[in-house]
Amino acid sequence: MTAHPLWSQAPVPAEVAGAPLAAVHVARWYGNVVAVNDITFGVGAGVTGLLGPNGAGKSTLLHMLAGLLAPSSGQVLVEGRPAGRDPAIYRRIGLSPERDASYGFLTGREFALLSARLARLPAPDAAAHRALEMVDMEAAADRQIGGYSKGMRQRVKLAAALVHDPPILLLDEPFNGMDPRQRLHMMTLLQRMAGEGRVILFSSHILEEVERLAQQVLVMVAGRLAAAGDYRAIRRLMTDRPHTFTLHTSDDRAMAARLVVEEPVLAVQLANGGLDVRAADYGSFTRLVARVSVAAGVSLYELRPTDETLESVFSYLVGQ
Amino acid sequence: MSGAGSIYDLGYQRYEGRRLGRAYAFRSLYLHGLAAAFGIGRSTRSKVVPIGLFVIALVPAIIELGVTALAGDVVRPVRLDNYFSLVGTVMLLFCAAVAPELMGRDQRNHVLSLYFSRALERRDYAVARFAALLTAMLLIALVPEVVLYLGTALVRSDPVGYLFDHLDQPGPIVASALVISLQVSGVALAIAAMTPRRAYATGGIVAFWFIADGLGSLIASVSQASTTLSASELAWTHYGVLLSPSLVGDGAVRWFFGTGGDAIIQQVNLPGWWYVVVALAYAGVGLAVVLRRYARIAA
Amino acid sequence: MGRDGVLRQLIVLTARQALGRRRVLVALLAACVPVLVAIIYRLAGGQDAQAWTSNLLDNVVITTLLPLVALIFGTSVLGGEIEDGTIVYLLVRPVARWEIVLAKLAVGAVATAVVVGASAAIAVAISLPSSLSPGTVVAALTGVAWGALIYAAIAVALSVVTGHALIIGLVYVYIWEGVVAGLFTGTRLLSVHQYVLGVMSTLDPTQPSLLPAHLPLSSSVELGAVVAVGAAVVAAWRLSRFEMSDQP
Repeated sequence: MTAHPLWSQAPVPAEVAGAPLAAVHVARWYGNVVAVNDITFGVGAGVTGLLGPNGAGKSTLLHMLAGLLAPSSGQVLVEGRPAGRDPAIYRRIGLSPERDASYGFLTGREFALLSARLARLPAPDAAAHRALEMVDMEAAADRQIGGYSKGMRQRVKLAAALVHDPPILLLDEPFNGMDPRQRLHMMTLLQRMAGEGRVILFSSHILEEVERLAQQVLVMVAGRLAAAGDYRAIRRLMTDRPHTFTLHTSDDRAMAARLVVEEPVLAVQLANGGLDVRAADYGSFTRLVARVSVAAGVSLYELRPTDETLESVFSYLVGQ
Repeated sequence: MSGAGSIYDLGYQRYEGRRLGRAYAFRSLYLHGLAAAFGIGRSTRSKVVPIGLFVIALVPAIIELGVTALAGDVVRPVRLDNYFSLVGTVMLLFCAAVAPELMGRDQRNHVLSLYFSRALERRDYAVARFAALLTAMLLIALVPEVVLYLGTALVRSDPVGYLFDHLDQPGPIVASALVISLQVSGVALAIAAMTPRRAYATGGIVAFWFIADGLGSLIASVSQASTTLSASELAWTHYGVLLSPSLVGDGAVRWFFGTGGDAIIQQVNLPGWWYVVVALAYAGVGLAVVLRRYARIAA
Repeated sequence: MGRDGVLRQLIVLTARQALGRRRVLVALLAACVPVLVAIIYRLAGGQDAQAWTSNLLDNVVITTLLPLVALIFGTSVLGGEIEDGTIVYLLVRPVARWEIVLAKLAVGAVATAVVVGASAAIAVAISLPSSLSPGTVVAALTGVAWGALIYAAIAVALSVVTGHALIIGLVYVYIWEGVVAGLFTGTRLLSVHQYVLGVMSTLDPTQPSLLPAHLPLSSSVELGAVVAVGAAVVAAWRLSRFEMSDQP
């Protein structure tokens, strides 16, 4: 591990160093091209989404986390130990790589069995069977992988990653090529596994997937970590962007007239059978809405923030 | 504010300028192929094998010149005519390394449709690649020979006189280089065009050459040792020589230079110009295979 | 699951993979050449069988066929997986890198030895039936097996280091062993061809042996072992530092 002169001064937060899966000032460059640029984070139990546009460095980061690529600088820690030294860590990690490479001549069952045996499991047949059932590939397991559809190949890849029941799962674009029903099934499975205390990190460039599945997100843009955490909390940290809300009240016009003079409110618009409000500060606006509605004698039916979506968070971060 | 406003369309604009046409596209593809053959424009690693082999091809010439310069005109193991057998292996290896790059890369990356949607015809692509490989082979075949020829003249006290005495050399040099290059380019490119996978193509080219060589030379040499065949059957085995690309090449070169050849060639005693025709036939068949492949390939 | 179980699984996987590739056909075709030619030689009533067979074995089988087949199989067993990208499924398992290399090498070497050995044995049996002693055949097969192991090890090591393993291996065989070692006798110590000849010639009970040898048995075995083990170590070490990239 080499230390980059400019970065190593920054202290490592305690929660990062103790996390089951951690990256500490990890960077990776190829000659002059920096693919991953000084990333520090810790991932704990639950589902974490690694979100970023194509070319952001997500796959590179995942390969480093899986010990398949050495960082140019910094360290990757799996359960406190550096990754990539000792193949024994692969008892604790399961990886589903992005690349659509497969042993076309093996059947799904044979591939799962191969993975179970290589994982040195005491009961490989049972483990393979269980893994195939989890990904709903039991029925098609005796056909050759060469004849599978893309979604089926993805699921078999997942089965291989799950076969040894690892506490840490690294999934690179796992839903690639899956139809909505398969995707939903996988998401349910992953949520259940995360609930059992596993650390699941998956990457995607599709916002809806990450929004639906992930509890925490890591947003990567051009090799840097642009944000980390609960995306709703991230949204509230974006104070230089006004928040938008939708209100439904018993008297929208009166409400609008009262709101527009208040300080945090930037704009009010009557639309869609309700009020669209843009406010500078989330907290102060939510506090004043109640006060204003009481003063105006208006009943408040609904107050909903409308841009607490991952999309607005993401487009803000990417545009920085 | 007065009057009407305007909206300016800054979007998609057609190109109305000069288009350079098919010949230019062909020339560009040819030059690109030639550069790719030597790894120019790519990483250093892809230059190692072609340029390394080129240097290896030059080594006998340089050693020969050194020996002549130091020890005089005593013994000449490396001459203009047997040079081709010496560097024949190098040329084959060069083709085995380069032809898959030229043909396989575009197939692997599925970019052929990009080429064929231009002014370029499908056969233009095939011919341009052939021309590029041929040029590269000519360089490897000619440069060492020319170095040897001119070098031998320069190490003497009377270079110009030597050159005048040996005015009959350049013709055979060029003809041999051309025929040999055509032959090996045709074979290598045909095999490389059939598969996008580099290892299959490389292995296939070398294996094909080896198999054909082995069959040809051993069939022909049977006649040397045989007792049970009649004279007419023996004559048939002589034709086995034509199966071996190396022997065919050697025969053609010897015919151009007018010197005797490999033991088997002398023994078989076929008319010299046959070798030239067969070598060109290898090239022609190879080119035909490549053309057909690219006429039908899915883009 | 024990170490040998893992090894066995890797060997079976590699064997199935290697046999399914088209490369195998190329190797098999090449291996038919000595046999075909021996048949033609016999049909033509060839004379001087000793010299002819010696020529066949040395210049065709050992010089050209053995390294070619070993390179084809050797670059296919590990290099093929790297090219296809399936190597990742082996790397993300608690399996030592040397175990992977050992399994691949075993398949490559055995496949080469079987194919080339069969070709050589049949060709020799056809062209030399009367004066052939079983001891000679055994010596020839042992030499082929030794060469298969060493060439395959070199091929496996090359295929981890570079994507151009096949062509670089061919350059080594044809330029170094073919030309240089022929010219400069000192380089014979570095030529696998000479190790094979040394083994074959010394073990041959019929003397003078069918083939000339320039190295004694001890050197052939020791140097050959150094090369084979060294190559395997290099392969395992480079595999442990293998970097996955997204491009093939």
